[in-house]
Amino acid sequence: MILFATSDKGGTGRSVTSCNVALRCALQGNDVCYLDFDFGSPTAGAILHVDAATRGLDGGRGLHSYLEGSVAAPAELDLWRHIERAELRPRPAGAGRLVLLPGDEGGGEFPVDDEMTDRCQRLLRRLAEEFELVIVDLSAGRSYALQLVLEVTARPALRAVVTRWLVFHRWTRQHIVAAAGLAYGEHGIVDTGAAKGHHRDRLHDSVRFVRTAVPDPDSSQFAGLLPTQAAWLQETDAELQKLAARQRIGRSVLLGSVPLDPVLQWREQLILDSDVWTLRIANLETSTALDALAKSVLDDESWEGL
Amino acid sequence: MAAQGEAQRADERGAGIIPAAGAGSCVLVGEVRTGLLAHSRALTEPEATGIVTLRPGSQVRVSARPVPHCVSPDLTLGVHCPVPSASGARRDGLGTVLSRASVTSGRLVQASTHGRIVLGGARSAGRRRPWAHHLAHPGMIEVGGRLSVDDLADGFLSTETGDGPGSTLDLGAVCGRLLDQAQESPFLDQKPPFRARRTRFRFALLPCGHPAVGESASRSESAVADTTSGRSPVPGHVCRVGFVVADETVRTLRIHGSGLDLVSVVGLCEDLALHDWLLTTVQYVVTGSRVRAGGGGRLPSQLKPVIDHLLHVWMPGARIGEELLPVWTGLEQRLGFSRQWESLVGWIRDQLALALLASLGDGAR
Repeated sequence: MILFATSDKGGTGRSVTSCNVALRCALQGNDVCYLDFDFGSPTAGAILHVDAATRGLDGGRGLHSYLEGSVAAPAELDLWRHIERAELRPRPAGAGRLVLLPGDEGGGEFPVDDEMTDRCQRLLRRLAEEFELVIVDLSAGRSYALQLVLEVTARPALRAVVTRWLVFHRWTRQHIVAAAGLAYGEHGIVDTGAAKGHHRDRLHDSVRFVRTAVPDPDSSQFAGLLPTQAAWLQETDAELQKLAARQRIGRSVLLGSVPLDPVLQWREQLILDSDVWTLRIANLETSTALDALAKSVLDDESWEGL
Repeated sequence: MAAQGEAQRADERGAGIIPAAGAGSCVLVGEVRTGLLAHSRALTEPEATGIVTLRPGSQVRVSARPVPHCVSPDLTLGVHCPVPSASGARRDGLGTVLSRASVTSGRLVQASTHGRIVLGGARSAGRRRPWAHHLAHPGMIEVGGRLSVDDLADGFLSTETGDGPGSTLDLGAVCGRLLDQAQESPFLDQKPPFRARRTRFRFALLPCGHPAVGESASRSESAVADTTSGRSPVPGHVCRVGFVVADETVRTLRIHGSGLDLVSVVGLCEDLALHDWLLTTVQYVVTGSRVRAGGGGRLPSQLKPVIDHLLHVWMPGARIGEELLPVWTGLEQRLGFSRQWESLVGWIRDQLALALLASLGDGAR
């Protein structure tokens, strides 16, 4: 399966959440690879604690260079050898492969030409052949990267490969409207995809949403609130639920929801068991939510058509 | 890699004979990439033939024993770029490389690319010959200037294929692309029963360090210039073989030999690469299932596709000429390919038996 992770706005926690999902899926024994298609700011290396690729890879061996045609194949980093976290070394027993294809340091957005589309198609098909889960982290908004992958997935060579879409958004009024617009609006994923030859309904059915930085009114985090504040929080949450349903991104297309967590917000890092239990910096709820999200990603039932 | 003037014709390959050391050295270099066909079931022979028919109307060679196997005709690709060297010396090579794709047992797909690099051809230094000359010698790359055989072979075997900016001859990129082409075939449903990584098998055939007496005298410059016809009057022999598992997916093989038929050497390497892939893949699946087996008598689910699709494909040395059999036997003795395979297969069958016993026990209860 190829999973495209996208969001309309920046700062939704798209990259950090998808990196955590990739890690969890690999720990469950699946072979996973992660492509940093956020060409403007390739930061997956930093989130995954890979010192060699904190801001993308230098030396012109990253995805950007490959798509431009200056290298025959992009660099593939075996994360079990590159993650600088003691808890993940050596490779945990039973874990599948976890590979990062970083972007290039100093890369940027670029217009797409035919050869680039061919290269992208060959790469994605090969990775789908070798890995159970291929996560492609796209830049925010209606980017060139989004156009590129919609184009290649409509081609015959990739049509048989299962491709799915995850739209990340924060739990606010603006984000909900923006996420719905990116998925179903004018020049959105479904619209652009259909114009490029995708089956409209099938593409529509392959989109799911992930809510990030969601405050849970019932959690202990908000135990000290004044009664008026608590009531307001409840009310706002209910309003947002209604808004999401009106925008057609309600519960039926919700794949997961990740609570507000300082470790995700400030540090943008992998959340491991030690962060929850030993260091006690991350919340157990966050870890549980990420586990559930990883499970849903791999579960075909959660992707069934409506 | 820099490719110039793609000569898209399927070619009857000239059966080259490697000349003896000293007489204008010649190194055969190549790479084989092996993967699992992106299809839910094993292909039938006509389907497999369709996959490797890379050009309309081209002849595919098919054999049925001991495992179904079909090979595409050779494709010729023109190259003009520096050849690899361990010392970093930049020497331009000009000529063609040959590639072919094959499907074995309707389940495994391979692409291989090779070229015979002729070093120190004084005549070619500084003067370009017309492409017609190179097309008349398919699979030969002429290198002008000085470069030692070992420097070239070391450079080739240690290059990280496809990872650096492509400035030197990169055979891996050529066969990787061919493998992609085969895997993109519309015959395939892109739903393989399990995921397996491709392996890269890089090989180099060098002249013997110490040629037999009289051998080098019997070959002259002309043997280098045109080795596309005729067979060696002296039976070929292999002096030394070095096989290295470089990392998870890269393997290298270095053979020193003389008088060997190059077509057979490429065939040997494809066979080795195939079996190495089988070992690597089954080992990976078994390692993964051992961790999670838990001993409850249930067959780990990931073993089933391996039993269905891979266990019967093991057929080492099936298409190898007699003079090259010592290479297989040598590797068998030292690395124990077949011993490891049998042990893996035995373990899988034991798991199967345990699972059967457990389910019989459940039924009796």
